[in-house]
Amino acid sequence: MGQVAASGTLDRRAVVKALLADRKDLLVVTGLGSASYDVMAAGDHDRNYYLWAAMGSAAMVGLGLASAQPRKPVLVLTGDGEMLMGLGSLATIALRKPTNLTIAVLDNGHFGETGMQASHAGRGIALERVAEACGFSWSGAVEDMAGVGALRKRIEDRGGLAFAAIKITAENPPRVLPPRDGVYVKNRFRAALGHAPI
Amino acid sequence: MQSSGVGNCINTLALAACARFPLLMVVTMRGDWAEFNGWQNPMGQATEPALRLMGVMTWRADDPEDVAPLLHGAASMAFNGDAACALLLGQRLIGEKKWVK
Repeated sequence: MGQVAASGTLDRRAVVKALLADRKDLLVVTGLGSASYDVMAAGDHDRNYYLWAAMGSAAMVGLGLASAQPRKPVLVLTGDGEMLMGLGSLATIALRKPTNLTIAVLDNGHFGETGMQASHAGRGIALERVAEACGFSWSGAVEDMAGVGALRKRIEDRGGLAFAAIKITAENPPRVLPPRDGVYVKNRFRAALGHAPI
Repeated sequence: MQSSGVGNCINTLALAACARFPLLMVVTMRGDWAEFNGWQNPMGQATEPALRLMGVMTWRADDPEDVAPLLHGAASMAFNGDAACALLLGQRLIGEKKWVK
């Protein structure tokens, strides 16, 4: 596999802040761990759904949400470790091809939550090429803030199923903890979409 | 899904438990009756207790006439009560798999 860059140069908090600023009707799902903290650090929001467990499920939660809310852009923000645990979901999502879904992996090539061991993504498995092989309408690596801006526009435009591997530095900024009560977050999210609790 | 697939879902069932999402599962059983492939037996025998350990309510159909009312009951409780419900379709109901003809 030749020379492999273990991680990128982008600052994860700056990336997420740029993706979520003035977000309009965007719906956001976060994978457990650092991606959830990054989204919380950018500001809590009624239309955020934070996962605290069920590792490997973020992309599929995004698929369900995108299918249920086809007129709204849906962004899954997760880490490369979380994505690796549900890699098969990329195949299912590619077959369903919701045009309003973007999966953005904050890819530092490491398992940050368990002590920064190198992940498969850091050892040569290019997740964006996996998504491309599955048939995502667009898939690519994002390596600078201009690329983040272009990704943001792509999300807003709902122009087709997209996957981005955003190459961030391997570091753990201070945790900013989102609410952990899953029922509360669910009902808050539903209320923001006009649904009452059962 | 098949009973073997339930084994792959155990940790994910935390999502339904913690967020109280409605969840309806229909599981075709292996390792349950007249199984030729013994590799199916460990998960097949553990499927119903494993689901219950993770907070999923279970029902089991072995006769064709039970399938519709049990499915109706499981779906009602899943979607009216934000509950996790599984209907297991027994291997006798599905029929014996012929491995060698």
